[in-house]
Amino acid sequence: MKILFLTWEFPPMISGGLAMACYGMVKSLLKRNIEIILVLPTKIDAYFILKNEDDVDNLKPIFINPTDLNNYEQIFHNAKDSNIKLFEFLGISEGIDAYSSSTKLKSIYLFSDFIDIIERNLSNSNQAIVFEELKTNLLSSEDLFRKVREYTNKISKLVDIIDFDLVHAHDWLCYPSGILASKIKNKPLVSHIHATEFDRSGGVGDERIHKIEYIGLSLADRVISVSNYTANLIVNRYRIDTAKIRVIHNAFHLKNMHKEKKRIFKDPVILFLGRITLQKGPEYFLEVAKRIIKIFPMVRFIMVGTGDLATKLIKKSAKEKLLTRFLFTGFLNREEVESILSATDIMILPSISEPFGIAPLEAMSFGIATIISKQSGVSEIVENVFKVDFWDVDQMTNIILDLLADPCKMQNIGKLAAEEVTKIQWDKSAKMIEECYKELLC
Amino acid sequence: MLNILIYFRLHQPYRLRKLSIFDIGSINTVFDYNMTKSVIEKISDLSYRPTLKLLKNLIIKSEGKFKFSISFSGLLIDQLIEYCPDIIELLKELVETKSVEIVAEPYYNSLSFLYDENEFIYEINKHINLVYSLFNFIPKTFRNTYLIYSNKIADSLRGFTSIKNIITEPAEKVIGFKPPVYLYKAYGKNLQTILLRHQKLSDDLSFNFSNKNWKEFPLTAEKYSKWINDLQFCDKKVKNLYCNLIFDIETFGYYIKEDTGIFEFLYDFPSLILKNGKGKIKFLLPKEIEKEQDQNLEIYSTKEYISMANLSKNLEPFIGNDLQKNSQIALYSLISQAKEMNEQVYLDILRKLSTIDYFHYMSDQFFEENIDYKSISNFPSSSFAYQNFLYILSDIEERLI
Repeated sequence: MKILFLTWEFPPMISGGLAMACYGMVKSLLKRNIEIILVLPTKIDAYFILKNEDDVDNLKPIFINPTDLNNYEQIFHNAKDSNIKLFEFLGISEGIDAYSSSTKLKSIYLFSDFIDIIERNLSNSNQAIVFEELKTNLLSSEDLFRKVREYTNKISKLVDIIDFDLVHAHDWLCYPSGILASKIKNKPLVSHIHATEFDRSGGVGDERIHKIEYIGLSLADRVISVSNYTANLIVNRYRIDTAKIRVIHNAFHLKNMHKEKKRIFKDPVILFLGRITLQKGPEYFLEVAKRIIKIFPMVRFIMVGTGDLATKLIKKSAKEKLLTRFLFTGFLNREEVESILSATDIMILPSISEPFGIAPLEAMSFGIATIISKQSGVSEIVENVFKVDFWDVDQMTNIILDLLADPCKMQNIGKLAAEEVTKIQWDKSAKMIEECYKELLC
Repeated sequence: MLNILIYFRLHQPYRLRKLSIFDIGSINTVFDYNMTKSVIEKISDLSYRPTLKLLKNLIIKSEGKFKFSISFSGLLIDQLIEYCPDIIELLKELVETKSVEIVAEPYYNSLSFLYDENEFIYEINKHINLVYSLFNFIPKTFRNTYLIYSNKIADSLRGFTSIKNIITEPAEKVIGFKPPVYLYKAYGKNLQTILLRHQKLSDDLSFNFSNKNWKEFPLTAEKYSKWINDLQFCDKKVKNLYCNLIFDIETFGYYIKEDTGIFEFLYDFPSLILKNGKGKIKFLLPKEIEKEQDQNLEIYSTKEYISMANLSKNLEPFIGNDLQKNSQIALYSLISQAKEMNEQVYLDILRKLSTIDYFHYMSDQFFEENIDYKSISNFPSSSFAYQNFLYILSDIEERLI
């Protein structure tokens, strides 16, 4: 079975949970002898064929253009095993905006071809209206949309030279290319939804993105949703046919079991880990900190991450005069995230809307007592955590005060959490994904 | 008689290290000594050394007619002793001419008067002791950080009987539109004389000398000495007028580069002032005021703090935002904690951290005004400066608890 796997993120190009989810998923799919043709938003036209489990850590690009191959080999020769150099060459690195291309769009007509193909395939008039607008939007010049367009163009070139059985596209950025590949080659499309525009915006977001999500999910033969929470959302908001939705929870890829505690602070540490954006509920974290520090000042609240609300939160926290008890770290890389987790006692995920949320699983694996928003997908699959409505700062405060007063209880819940999380493995979810593929292929 | 009182000031903070959260509890020092050293060496080369040498020549050339005051933070002296001891020798030579008066100030260039009066008094004592032990001089005049003043400052200084004069900024709300050429006395039972900076003439040199968009550009020594000469006509009724000009020494050669002709300007203008004044203008030291005092002085009374830091003459540049306030409260609570525990080593570090410069880096204005902030601050924004300062305080806190 050969899967054309389209995603915007994959390690080492990490910016959020999507990269880690795709990594674990692909690794486990490879174990099941499924061949993955991975296409990333690389600046250079390239793709990756993954056959063995180890290939996920060692992506070898295949180039569409032979001169790229020559250049690449030269760099590879000089760089020896410096992966970073190679990924720079491909035009990807850490961070979401790594893919900033200046290459000229030679093949705009290919994109129009794509539009024609889809238009011929539209099944009802409602879809046609939405698609008309989608076309206008994708042809607009805005940066992210331009990147999506370039990515889609690349796929249109690729589908002629590669062979695959099924297309698996992740989130709206890859839906246009997923639809294109599926329609050109007449292969089934699986649209995987990791996060909707409703989650990201904390309400109604960019209309154009809503429309791409709608069309991507509507035209798919199967929709994989990372949680029941998200499945409900797409049924309610996008009216997606429930019969084709499969809920397959994300899992957690345990790298190594080195979960030794290495403290930074003597006092208990309470952590926020995620982008500092409206969706993640950082203001609720500050609100809890305010209440706790008033009663129990010997704690440290630490906010890890960046985002459009970061400066506002820094100023707001200073206004509360929490002295040195509320700290910010800015962006931390993978290794640093693990270090901060090993120094943490309690973690809060106060997301307003979280389709899944992988960070709490990671925290649990470090034996951290974890409080998660009920408005999250991850809360559907874990037991040894505290589940709270994101707005219920009083309850979060009470839970934390209770844990601070009883360190044994805190340790115990952490221990149970660490055990529980070892059972949430990608192998199980990958098996379900394979079943989903099989339904479409036989 | 028009009396010209010139004050030159030297100050630089220790540069802070850029920390990550993982450094907390495990670092040897919070200061970036390499950067501190290279900045102080650069400023000494470009400014301190040539300026102090030039000033000494001016004193000798004028046969004692040219005289001026000098002041410095204790922190700067600490740095000079370690990195540029020849500057200390130059300062000593100047003091030995007897034409130079040293002005006392808070050792750490801090805001301690706002948070802890005992700290404030400790700092002044420490500074006076430094001046005495290094230069064998007992200061008679005091200037607070950024010339900040309120009646409370005069009260705090009452115990320092040797301090006769306090220099501050003229504020409209205190003296109205009167020109800043008179002496005042402190409010209530305080005996100090209040000297007011001549803002316009001080800033014309400090900020406008190299400003090509200024309508008076270029500023020549002739032009400047004529402006000073004109001050005589402010008031013909009183016997003595006073013009206090205050300059950062760094202005000469560091902020304003040598190729603008700033040193030539400095060399020329004292003799021009004396020449144009035709015996009616002289240079004076603040310590000499007492015996000349012949007027019934008006009272300079203000409950609100006045500073030279901004146009509104208040404390906004340092305590105007929450980042600054939170870090100051955290700092002074650690200082009192360290005092209680008698942790001298950490107390010393915390006091160094009370330098106002670090709070200046936490204002967005600082980054707007200082395009070349990279040469003096390790931080790209006010949020970064704040974040780093909290790491530093947390590091010390972890050692104290």
